[in-house]
Formats: sequence, structure tokens, C-alpha cells
Amino acid sequence: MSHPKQAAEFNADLERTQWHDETLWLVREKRDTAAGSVPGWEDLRERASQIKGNALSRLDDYLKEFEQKAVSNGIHVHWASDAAEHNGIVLQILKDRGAKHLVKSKSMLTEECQLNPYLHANGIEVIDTDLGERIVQIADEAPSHIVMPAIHMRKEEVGDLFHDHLGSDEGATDPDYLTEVARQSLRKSFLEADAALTGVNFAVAETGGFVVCTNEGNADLGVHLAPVHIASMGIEKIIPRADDLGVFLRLLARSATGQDLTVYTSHFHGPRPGAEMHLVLVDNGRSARLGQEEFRDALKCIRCGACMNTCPVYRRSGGHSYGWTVPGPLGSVLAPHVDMESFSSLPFASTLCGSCTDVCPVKIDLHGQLYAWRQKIVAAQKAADRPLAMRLMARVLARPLAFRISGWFARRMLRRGWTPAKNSMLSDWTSSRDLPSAPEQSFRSWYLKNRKVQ
Amino acid sequence: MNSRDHILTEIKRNRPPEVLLPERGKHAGDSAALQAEGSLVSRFESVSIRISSEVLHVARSDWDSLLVGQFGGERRIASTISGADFGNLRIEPDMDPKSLSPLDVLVCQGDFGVAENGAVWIQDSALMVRAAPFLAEHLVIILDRTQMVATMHEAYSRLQTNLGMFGMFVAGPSKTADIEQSLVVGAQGPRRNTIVLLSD
Repeated sequence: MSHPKQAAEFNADLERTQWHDETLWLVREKRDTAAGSVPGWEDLRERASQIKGNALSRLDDYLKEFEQKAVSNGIHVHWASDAAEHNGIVLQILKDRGAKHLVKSKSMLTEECQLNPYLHANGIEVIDTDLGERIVQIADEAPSHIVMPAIHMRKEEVGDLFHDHLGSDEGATDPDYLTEVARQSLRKSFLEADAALTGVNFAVAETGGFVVCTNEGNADLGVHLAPVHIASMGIEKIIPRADDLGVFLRLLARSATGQDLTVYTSHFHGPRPGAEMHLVLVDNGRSARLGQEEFRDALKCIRCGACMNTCPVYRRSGGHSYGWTVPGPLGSVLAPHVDMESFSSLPFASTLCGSCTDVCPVKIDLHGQLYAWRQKIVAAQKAADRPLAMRLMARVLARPLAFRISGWFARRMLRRGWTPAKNSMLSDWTSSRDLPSAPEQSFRSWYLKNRKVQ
Repeated sequence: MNSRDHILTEIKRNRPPEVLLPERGKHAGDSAALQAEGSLVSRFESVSIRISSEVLHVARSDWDSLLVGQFGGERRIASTISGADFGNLRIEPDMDPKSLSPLDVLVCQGDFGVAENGAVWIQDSALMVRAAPFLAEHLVIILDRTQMVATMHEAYSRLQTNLGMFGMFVAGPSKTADIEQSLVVGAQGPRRNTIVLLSD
């Protein structure tokens, strides 16, 4: 996949690009206001980063502690090395209980594991219940943002989709009305579901429980009505103590949407009487990343999405241009772990301005990691064309006569608009940039005329 | 080797040198700043209103008659508060939660409020049915106005590890902004969230 190519497709709709850019910037501004209202915000970030640092440095101990407590609370704990194993575990739980209708709240991990298509292929109906996820599910698209999955879509498009699939009035675009239509349809799904799946925001080692944050209440409606609750979590979601939740919850919603807290912050420590609770701990490459010093800090991420909202490239290129589950700066440092070659354009989808690092609530050096990936990728590609150009340039610059001749030549070419740099076969540089107009004379001839009189 | 052992072994092999865990409960405190802005209750109330909650101030002796007056006309109303003489639906911990649907109003007891974000902590013992506060069109939380903490740090200091089998912070009615970032109140859960603050 190529980020520039896919970004160009998004940019073809200038009005949408502008809207997307401005809307996400607004979310960034809300984040600033919320962060600014908390005295000691920077201390809070530092503390969060330290807690996550500790959690990663003792991850195996905490996972064992968590498992033991969770099991004694009555939670069934499963372990999955990779996506396929995770999907198999989920399917088996459903099959054992004869479950056919699964309601699912937002979980980037199940997107990463491609759980939905797998379950569909095995005869399970999956309904995504977060409104944004439901919209993209009906549209048969992937989420374009981890917190606002349908942020790339306009209300007219949502209206058309809902008209076709949920029977809303033709041409209706009012968000209140469309949300109500989705509510009625989803409420039916909640009452009919025989299993519910959620993600996990935080899992607490000392108590053996986990926390799920939503604004809509969809995760809770699913799990409290269905007889089976399955929670899928990446192993890095562990925090040591309940007390640490105070730190992360103060940061999460403020960084994500500018709210002081999500509407619902649900703490699960065991099933309700007569129901079952399962938790699947998923590695899928995480334990290997733990060993890579320059990249391991990305495992601290609490999935707030602030790095996306602030990113000048993400805002103008849309989440789908990244071609991976998680877009934006975070996605660009995660995806190359999965496949460095096919995601090689992502670390370059950045200006390295560092804004992502500045807003990150757990202080991940995101732009530093993007830079580190660039080194790796270029080294791997050996950038065959660049050294040739550089070698040529070095020879020209080292020979005054050659330099003068090529300067004279280049000025004439530029005036006629002919230059190899304008050839998109050779370089993308000028596809969205103009070259400067050619000067009348070279500096050398100007100098000879004006200064070298003595 | 099974996946569990494989994952744990890989982690042990790859984990970085131990990073020190910051001490529990020691936070660069902003509770003092919050206190200075006025009482926790008034902060709680102003934040609650900002997040679309409704706040009522009621004398402890009057609250159930006030609620009967307010919600007496609702079709299906459940209350998990013992001794209150309103509510026309049976609600019990071991019932099928689906049988509560549809539910117009749920009245339940909150443990404490959090001034910085307008959230109220409610534990499953006060809900009886975990689904109830999500099924209800209107959630009414009865809260003693003296039960207020400044921030989430104090909230967890108070809770320690006593989080119940299920417990939650509720901060306002359910909402979404998933269509063009337009705020819609009443997404999947309650459309209204009322906090009844009791005073002596």
C-alpha cells in the first residue's frame, strides 16, 4: 500500500478534506481546554508514563497476578499467541454455548485480528454496536479513527446508508434523528443477542478486573443482557493497581475528546449470577515488540487518539489512507512491526513536527519512533535511485565549470518548465509543489558584475 | 509449550530492566485547587450541568414524595431503594434482565460523586440488575450531598480495591458524536440523567 497514493484519493474531495481537517482540529482544541483545566497535567502525564513503564518492565508478573485474581473472581481467562488463536477461542466459546448472535462494542484489537469476517464465515452474526462502528459496518468499510470510527463520512452519506439498511426516511440527515433510528435498531439487537464482546481499556493486576469506557452505554447494554461476556485485550493493557486507574482515567477522555470522563466507566470483576465472563489475553506480536528498545514505548498507548487529531498529515489524509487498523502517528509506528515492506510508506506520512509526542498522555516519543522507522526502512530498501542522484550531484558540485554549465542549463530548463524534477516518473516532489522561478542570472555572474570591480 | 507459557516466557526474555512504580496515592494534588474554587458540591453541580445531567436539591425527608410527584405518571418505573414507596416494577438480582425492558425510569442509590467530572460511583449491590441503569430511558440517582470527592485520585483512595463484582462511574446521560461530531444526547442508554442531592 502507498500512503501518498491513498491520501491523494481522499484529497480529491477538497471540501471533505477541509471539513475533516477542521473538525479534528476542533477536537484537538477541546483536548487543550480540558488538559489546561487540570492543574498538574504534565505531572499526570509523567506519572502515567512511569506506571506504564513499570507495567511493561514486569508484564509477566502482572499478567500472572491478574490471571490468578481474575480466575478466583470467576472469570475464565484464555491466552492467545496470535490473531488466529484469538479468533478460534472466541468462536469456540460461542459454539459451546450455541450462540449465533454476537453484539460487539468497540475493540481495536478485534479489528486487528479481523474477527468479524472470521465469525461471519463461521455462521455467527456480528453486530457492531458503537454508532460509529455500526455506520462503517453497514458501509462495509473499516473505521478511519480509533475513537471516531466514521469521522470520514458526512451525514448525507450516513442518511443514505440508514435509509437503505435501517429504513430511515429518504434524504434525512439530522444527526438526532439518525441516531434515534440506530438506537431503535440496536436495542432490538441487544435484546436478541446471545453473547456480547467488548474490548478492554485497563486491566488491574491487583484486583483481577477490567475497565471498559464508553459514552453510548453500548458495551454495557450488550454484556449485561447477554448470557456470555467475552472481553478481548492486548497483554499491554495491564496496570498494577486500582489506584492507577485514577491517573489514567483523568487523562484518557480529556485527551480523546476533551470530556472530563467518558459517560460510562464500567469495572468488571466477575459475571452476574447465572452468566459467564471470558477474557482473552492476546499477544499477536506484542511480546516481541517489548524486546525492541527503540519501539517498546508504543506499548504504553492507552488508545485515546489524540495523536491522530493533532497530526497535520492525518487530518488532511483521512484514516483510510494508512491502510491499517490504527491510522495516524500511532498506526504508523505499529504497522511496520506487522509488515515493514508493505507499510513502508507510513513512517513517512509525517512532518516530524512532534505534535503527536506533545499531546500523548503517556509521553510516547511518537515522532522519534517514526524517525527510527525511516532509518530502518531506508537501510532495508538501500534507496537505489538516491545514491545515484547524490553521486551525480557530488561530482557536479566538486567541479566549478560543470557547476556553471549545469546552472546555466537548469535556469533555462526551469524557465521553459522542463526539468527532471517535474517528471513524476522520477520524483513526486513537484506533484503538489511549484519550483521557484528561475533567477535572471547566477549568483556568480551577479557578483562578478557588482562586487568584483576592484 | 502452550500459549500461556509461551507468551510469559517471551515477555520475560524481552522485558526491559525494571522501572520503578510511583508510590500509591501520592499525586501532584489539585484537590486543593478544586477546594479553593468553592465547595465540592457546587463544582460537582456545575460540571454535571455542563455534561447534560440534571441536579435536584432535596431535603432527606422529602425525597421520595418528590419523586412520586415527578415520576408518578411514568409507565414503567423501578426502584432499587428499599423502603421507597414508588416504583411499579419488580426488580431482583436474579431476574432475567431482559424482562425489565422497556424501562422508563430507574431510581437507584449512588455511593459518592466526583467534583472534577460530575461522575457518580454506583456498585452492583445498589443496582440489583446491572443492565437496569442502561435500559432505563431516565436514570435517577439519589446521592447524599456530603458524599463528594474532589478528583478521581480521591475516588480510588476511597474505593481502595473494593470495586464490587461490577461497579461504574456514570457521568451524564448516554451520548454520541459519531455523526459529524454533532453531540446527540440519548445514544443507546438513558436520555436523561438526574442526580438528586440530599441534604439534612
